Amino acid sequence: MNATNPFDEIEQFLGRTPFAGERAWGRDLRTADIDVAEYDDEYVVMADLPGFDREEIDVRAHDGRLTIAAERDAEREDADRRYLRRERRHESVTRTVDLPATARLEDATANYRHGVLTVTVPLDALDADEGHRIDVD
Amino acid sequence: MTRRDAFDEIEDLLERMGREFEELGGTLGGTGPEVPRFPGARDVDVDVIEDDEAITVVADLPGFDAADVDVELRDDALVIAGSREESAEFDIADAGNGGAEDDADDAGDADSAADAADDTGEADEVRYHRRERRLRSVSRRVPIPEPVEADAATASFDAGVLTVTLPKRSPDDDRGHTIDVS
Repeated sequence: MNATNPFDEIEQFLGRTPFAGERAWGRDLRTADIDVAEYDDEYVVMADLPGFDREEIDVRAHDGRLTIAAERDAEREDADRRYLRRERRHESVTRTVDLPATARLEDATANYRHGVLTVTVPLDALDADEGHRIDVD
Repeated sequence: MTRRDAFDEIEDLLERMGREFEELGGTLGGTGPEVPRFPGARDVDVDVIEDDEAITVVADLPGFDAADVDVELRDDALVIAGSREESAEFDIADAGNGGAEDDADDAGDADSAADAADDTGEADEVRYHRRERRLRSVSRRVPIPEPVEADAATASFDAGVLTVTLPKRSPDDDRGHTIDVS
């Protein structure tokens, strides 16, 4: 029998590494909020990345994982410029998503609009769930 | 050397708490008929920056169009609201069967379409692995700690970020309107 660690499950559920450093009210400021939707023929990942330029966003697919990274110049703060509140996410944000084996990474497209990155990955029509069919002679 | 009075500190604390409650009230008041939100959950992340001339409020509103964002200076607070239209039924077809470009272009619509699909039980073709993004209408009340020139306020919206610049009222104005004596 193997006992599962509840923290592992929570971690899995959140899809984030625990104790990843800075958090505000349970929120990791270094990751982006994402939606991952699977349709019949495509996988759509949407990430909230407000306040970036297209050039500052890097999307990579490697080993069946999609990595989204965005980085912008840090806002300066000095004696003349004081933060009364600072809740917005960090200047550097990354997030990784596992993709299914049927994902056709070479045909993936990405679009950035109104601070939301949308990555669309077509899926092969393989009936992966049903297994490989073997004809009987 | 002046020793800091403990009562001052308590007063400070109460003032801070009061501000938080004020904010919370503002948030709850703005929720409307939607599903009740966890109290204190922040809809909109904001930075408030003060310099010599102005107070600048920067708010993250990813996925909104400039036309969907409403900003109002009410009393001593800036009220920011982003509204999303409820999607039309036909958007569901777009989201599911449309090409990659359709989905990308109508990112926001696809979202809410999927929402609608969930509600109506027509979601058989889409499966969500993660849903962390906030898709509903959002609002936030940000107290402004100093008097500002409401008429001279400017706002811009770019890449899902709202920036509102509120020029501080000059000390002269505090003394009231000056009347020339002839």
